[in-house]
Amino acid sequence: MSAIWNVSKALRVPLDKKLTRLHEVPHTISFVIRKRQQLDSFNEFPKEKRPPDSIIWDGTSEEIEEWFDKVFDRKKSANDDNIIIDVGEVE
Amino acid sequence: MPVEKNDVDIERLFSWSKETIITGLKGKDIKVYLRLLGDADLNRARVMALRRSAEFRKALKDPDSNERIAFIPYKEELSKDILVESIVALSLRDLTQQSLREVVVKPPKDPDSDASTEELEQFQKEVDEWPKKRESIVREKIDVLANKRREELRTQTEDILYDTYLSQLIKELCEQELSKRFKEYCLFFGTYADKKFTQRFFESFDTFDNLPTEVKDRLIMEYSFLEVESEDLKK
Repeated sequence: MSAIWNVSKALRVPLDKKLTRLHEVPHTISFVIRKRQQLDSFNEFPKEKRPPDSIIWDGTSEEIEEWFDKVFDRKKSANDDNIIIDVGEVE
Repeated sequence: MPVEKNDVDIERLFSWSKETIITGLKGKDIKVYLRLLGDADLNRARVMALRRSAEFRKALKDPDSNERIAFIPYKEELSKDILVESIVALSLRDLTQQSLREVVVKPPKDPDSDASTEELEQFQKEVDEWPKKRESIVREKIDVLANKRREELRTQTEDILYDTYLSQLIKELCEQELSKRFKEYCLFFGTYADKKFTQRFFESFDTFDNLPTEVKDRLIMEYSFLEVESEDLKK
C-alpha cells in the first residue's frame, strides 16, 4: 500500500484531489506517506544496517533508536566525543 | 476477513468521507457528513480522551466517589477463586501484548525474482496461512502465560489479591473509558454540517455527549466504516 506514495510523487498526481491543504489529509493517508518516507530513508543504509521488518512495522520508536544505537555504536561514540571537565580543576 | 499481503484494498484508503442521516434527532432526520480525522484532530481527540480517562481514574481511586461504588465490588463480595480468575481475565490484554512481543513467527521469505510459478504459488500459500499460524502460536503463548499467572496468584493472600484486582480493574476500566472517549471525540471532530467539511455539526462536545445512546452508537459505527486498521496500513 505504501508504494502508492512513490507512484503519486513520480507522477506528480496528488493522492486525493479533494485534499488541498495539509491539515485536511486523513491520518490514514499521512501514515502511509510517513511510513514510505521512513522506509525510503532506511533503504539508504546498507542492508545489514537496516532495522528488521519486525521492528519497522511493530516496534516502538525507542526500539528503532536502540537498533541504530547498536548498529552504529552511537552511544559509545557520543561519550567518546564528550569533553569531561573536572569541576575541581576549575578555579 | 483481513486482507493479506499482496491482496491490499488500496481503494479503502481513499474512502475517507461519507454522508449519513441521523434519525430521530429532535424528531427529525438530519443529513451529516463524516470524515476521517487528520493528524492534528486525531491528536486532539487522543489528548481529550486521555484527560477524560484521567478524571475517571481519579474518581475510581476515591473510596467515596459514585464511580467507585458503581464500578468496583467490595472485597467481601469476592471469594479467593473469583479474585484469581478475575485478575487473570483482567490481565489478558497485557498477556496478549507480552505474547505478541515474545512470539516471533518469521513471515515467508520473498521468492527470488526468477522464481518459478510453483515457487510463487508456494510463497502465496505461506503468505495466506501466515496470519493464522501466528495467531495460533500467540494463543498458545497466552494460555501458558495465563496459567503461570494463575499459579502465582494462588499463593497470595486474599488482601493482596484484592489490591491486585483493584488496580487491574481500575486499569481496565480506564482503558475502556479511553477507547470509548477517543471514538466519541473522533466523531465530535469528524462530523460536519456541510459537504466541504468547513462547519462542524456539533457546537460543543457536550452537545454530542448528550445525544441518545443509539444515535451515538450509529454514528460511531458509520465512522468505523471509514477507518482502515493499522495492520492493513502496514502492508
